[in-house]
Amino acid sequence: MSVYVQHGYGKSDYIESTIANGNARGVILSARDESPQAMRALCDKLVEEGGRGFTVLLDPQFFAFVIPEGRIRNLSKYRYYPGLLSRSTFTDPADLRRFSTAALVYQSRLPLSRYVSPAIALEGFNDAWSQVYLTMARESIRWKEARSDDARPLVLSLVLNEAALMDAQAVDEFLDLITPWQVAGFYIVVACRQSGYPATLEATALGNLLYLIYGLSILNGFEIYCGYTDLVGILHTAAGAKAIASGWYGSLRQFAITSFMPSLGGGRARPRLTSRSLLNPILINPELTSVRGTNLYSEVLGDSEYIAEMLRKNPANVEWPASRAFLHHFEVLSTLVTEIESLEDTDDRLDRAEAMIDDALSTYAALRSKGVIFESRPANLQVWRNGLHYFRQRMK
Amino acid sequence: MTATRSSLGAEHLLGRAFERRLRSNPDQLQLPNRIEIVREMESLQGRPDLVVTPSVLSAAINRDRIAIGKTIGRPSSAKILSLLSLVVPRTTRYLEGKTRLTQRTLSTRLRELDAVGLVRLSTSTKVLATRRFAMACIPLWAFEYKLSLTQRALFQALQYRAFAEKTFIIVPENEIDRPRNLGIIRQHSVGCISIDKKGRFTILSVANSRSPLSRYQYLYALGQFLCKRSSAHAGSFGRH
Repeated sequence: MSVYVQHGYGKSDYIESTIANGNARGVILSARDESPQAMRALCDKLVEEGGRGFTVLLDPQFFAFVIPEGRIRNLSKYRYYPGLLSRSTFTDPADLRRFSTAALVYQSRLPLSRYVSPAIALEGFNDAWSQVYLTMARESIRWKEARSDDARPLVLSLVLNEAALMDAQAVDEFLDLITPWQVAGFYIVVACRQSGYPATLEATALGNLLYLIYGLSILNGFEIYCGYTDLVGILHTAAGAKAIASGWYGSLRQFAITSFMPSLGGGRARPRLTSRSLLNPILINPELTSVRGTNLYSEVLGDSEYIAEMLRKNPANVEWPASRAFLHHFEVLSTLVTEIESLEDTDDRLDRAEAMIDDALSTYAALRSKGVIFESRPANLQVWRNGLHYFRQRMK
Repeated sequence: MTATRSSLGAEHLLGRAFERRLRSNPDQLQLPNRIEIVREMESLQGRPDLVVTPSVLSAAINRDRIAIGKTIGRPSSAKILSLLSLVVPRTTRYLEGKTRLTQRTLSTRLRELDAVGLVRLSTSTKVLATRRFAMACIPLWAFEYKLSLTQRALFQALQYRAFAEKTFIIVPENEIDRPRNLGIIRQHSVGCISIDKKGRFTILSVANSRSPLSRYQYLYALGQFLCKRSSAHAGSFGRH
């Protein structure tokens, strides 16, 4: 089971709780959301509570430094913070070395399991920033190679815009370029074009992402950590990802560059319950309350101690605080990923993931036929299915 | 749809026509003569276009409605009230556990609720709801104006069930000829009313009364309703 907690703002005791109930096998820390002092204490605590085999990574979130008026919160307090950067600040290779080294030196002082390189976000594999990305990645590799006494491996950040994944040929060329690199793996984050929650990549982008994961992990033996992945992570796991990550807010379950931009505000999040059989978080009201009137209620609820009260009472009147919703969500996600990981063969894993999607679509259809109204059609499931088919075609 | 837009303009014109009709003929929906309405009321399930009550507030409650509304309209206060009973006292410890409020916040909220006469401390640690609270609990009906009978309209109407006793979708008359989704709207007992150009309405689906699904959300919505006196009262209602 390899589901990591995607740390972010407002952590409460969520990470400790997922460790305690055995559902989290690692954490990806967000530098932006802790001061350096608090980060040190948090790392120490998580290493101790997580025990052997618990992975602690830190995302340096370097890409945020190129966003004008970006919401970088605590990032400016870190020693590796270079100030706001623009394209002109990336012209001198010495500066790129300094940026890369500073972020890794900072990590070397924390009890982290892996180094995560700093990186800028790529709009496309051949865009104006790609050379900067490659140079910074090489500088990170060089820094790590010079520290042969440090057993902690290096993982390269790869922060992509969804648009970068629309071009299959560019993905292939990028794979050819990076597979010779001497690193342990990659930490992949993809910014989704859609907003709202739950959102999804387009099928082609998803299929190419799965191919990238597969090419790097199964074909070339890299460790792949997929950040901000959430439920679609069952596909990432099937394609070979070592770990996927999800957090308590929607913004920690799907990555968007806009969350690093000045805030436009937003409404109050409506309470949701993640249904294992629907592979989606559904609204308590009116979706789950409508399902209650059907014979599929217990199937949609699933089996968990967190939802025991909902089996007996009207879910709209059951206390469903954000903490319980998150712990239940994380449990569902862990169960799904464990089921995929229990299969050895990639084809078997992909078959299982596809069967999960088909079952969920059937359950949605059955519920609709019983008059249950959902806010939107489960378009994400159809996209996952199409993305999976596209990927399997590419595998051949 | 084009004809509807040219005759009624848009949803707000549809709404105005409906509101005028309600004012002149509240009996048709079994509403009191002195009807109270709130437009675009905030709730924890979005903003229904119109909320009305089929009841008349007692004079004692009406006099203090703003103070009562502001107090109930706080999420923490609504949460506390949703757990109280008229006859079985709740301990402050029970309330702390259920609401997850700190002891300090809980005491502050209980003091505020006591000040407007909605709760009574039976002992220093046991709390009861009062008869005055029961009198303030008037039912709410929520209306959504739509130019067509979409599933989205039904979804919104179902959302409002969290706090409303009845929910309605109001559509222009041409939707009578295209009763798309009407079957499922009836299945859910959501009211559906069509309005003609003269503001006369036809009931396409009867709204059944149901207790609000969430007592907490109902109390929060009630707080908003009681606060919004300005546009709601019968005196100025409909004169636009």
